Amino acid sequence: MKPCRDFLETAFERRFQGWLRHAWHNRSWHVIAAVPGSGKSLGIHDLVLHSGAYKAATGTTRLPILAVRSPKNDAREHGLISALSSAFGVVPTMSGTLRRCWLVRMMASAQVECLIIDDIQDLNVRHFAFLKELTDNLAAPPYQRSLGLCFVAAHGSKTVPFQATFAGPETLWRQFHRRLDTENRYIIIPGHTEEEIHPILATFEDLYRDQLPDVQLRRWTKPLFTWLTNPILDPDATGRVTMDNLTKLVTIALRRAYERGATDVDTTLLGEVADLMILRRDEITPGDTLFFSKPGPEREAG
Amino acid sequence: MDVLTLGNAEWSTTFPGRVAPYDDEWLVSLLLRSDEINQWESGETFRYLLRSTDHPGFGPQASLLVVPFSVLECLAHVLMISPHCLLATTYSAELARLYPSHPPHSKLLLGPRYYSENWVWKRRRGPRELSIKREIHLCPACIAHRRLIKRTEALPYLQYCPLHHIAFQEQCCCGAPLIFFSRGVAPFACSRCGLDWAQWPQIPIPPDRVALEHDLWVLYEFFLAQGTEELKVSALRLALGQIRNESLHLRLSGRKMLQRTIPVLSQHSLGYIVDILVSVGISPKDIANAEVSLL
Repeated sequence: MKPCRDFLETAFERRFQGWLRHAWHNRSWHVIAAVPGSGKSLGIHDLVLHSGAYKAATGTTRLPILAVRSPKNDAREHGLISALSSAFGVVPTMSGTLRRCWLVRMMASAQVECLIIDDIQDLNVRHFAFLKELTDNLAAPPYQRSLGLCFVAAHGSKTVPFQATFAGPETLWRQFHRRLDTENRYIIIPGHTEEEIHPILATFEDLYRDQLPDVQLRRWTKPLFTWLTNPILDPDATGRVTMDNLTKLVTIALRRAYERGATDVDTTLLGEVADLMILRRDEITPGDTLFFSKPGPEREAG
Repeated sequence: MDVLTLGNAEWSTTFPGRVAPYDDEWLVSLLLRSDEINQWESGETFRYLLRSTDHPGFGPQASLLVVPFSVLECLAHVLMISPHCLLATTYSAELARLYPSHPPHSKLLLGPRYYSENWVWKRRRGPRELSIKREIHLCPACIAHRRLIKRTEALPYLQYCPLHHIAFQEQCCCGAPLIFFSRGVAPFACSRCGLDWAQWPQIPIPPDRVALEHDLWVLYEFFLAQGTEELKVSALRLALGQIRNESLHLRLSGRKMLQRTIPVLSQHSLGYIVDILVSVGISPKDIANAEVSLL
């Protein structure tokens, strides 16, 4: 079965991208959090793709939104500098000092208007100090460019990463706290309600109808919502559904139906997959079991 | 591709800023423009190319008049333009046509006494050494108008810009010689005082030099645009037929012409051949007429 790779503009994505756009257009700073698997990274990717970035052969380059993931396993600021530099393309080897200066010039030249850092739970104080230096340098003459800044994080409870840190008494954190938007410093984007997964299921029907002609997923909205808000899949008891869980349940069920020669899915098959995700989620598959098909890799949603 | 969008896979394999060559632009100028739009110091693109290749025909001393195709391909990749488009920023194709029995080399244009500017700069001890260095110079008006150094500015003996009719400059007002790629300074700026090359003096061509520059220019244009081995031989045959004295004093280089056999002379550099033709007073029209009469 051919997996779908399209970006779906779900209710979550509209909410999430809405806040990113707000930061971009108002040059405001926010910490935006959502539970893992919500579709944050895909939402950032889609927004950046449609932000109007281009490199013209005439030498003009525009990158209105510069989005990177926090560097992993690199506690120094160089990891973040490299990630930001690489967003522009191929950059020759240069010293750390030169690269810091170059990055400011290049961001001004490419008219960067918004900076998005994903997975900020991996940032440390050196990274934050560098971000302050970078944004301050851009705001100062000769560039005088203020940037929108979104720190995007996965959160696991009702708190937002760095909320307590930014409230700390140290000068750096106070400076960050002051720069964050006064009205909307910390934003938690909720997942999907039962009503919101209904149109997503309709989209799945359209996407997979050529492979399962009679597929009707919308009629299973309520049981799907019930399964996907089970405490195992919704450990923070948000009462919302993540796109990752919904996509997994639906696509595995559709694949199994397709492999069995069916043209639709029924509640038994959906329940079987829900059972796999909830009750048998940590079950070990025997290594001598052969795959009877080759499913495509699951698409990351968070 | 004129415009590369972020959705394109080549976004991450190209330089942050892309440049494409102007008509008759020399590779030196394209590399400097790449430095400038990418906010790099002078020579960063050139050093990127040096690090990207171990081709024996390309190094820090490279003249950039003839460049290995693999190096052009490397540059074409990061600029996302055709390597054939970059070939036109060198004289590789023209020299290959004029000297089919030799692999293209900058000495075929400049002559055997050529040393790259970097070699001379590093080893110079006094005026004597400077006298053997190849003249590298630029037109300040071309730099001011378009950040352009034309290929033709590398041609031997031309001293004035055919477009702006002002003298090529080979040193800054501060006395520092022109160096194309210098660490720690901005592109298109003096390596010592940082003065933009566009600010260098613009000295008009003196009236008594106009005719010579014109003759030189049309001869180069003729050979580089349509020259072949046969045309070169035909031109030399015509020149030898007009030499009356035993030893011809060459007007541009100030040397004496010793060799008189066409097979040997035709293997000399284009600069030397043009010197002979100018000294004897032969124009492209004379060469074309001689060709017609042979037919």
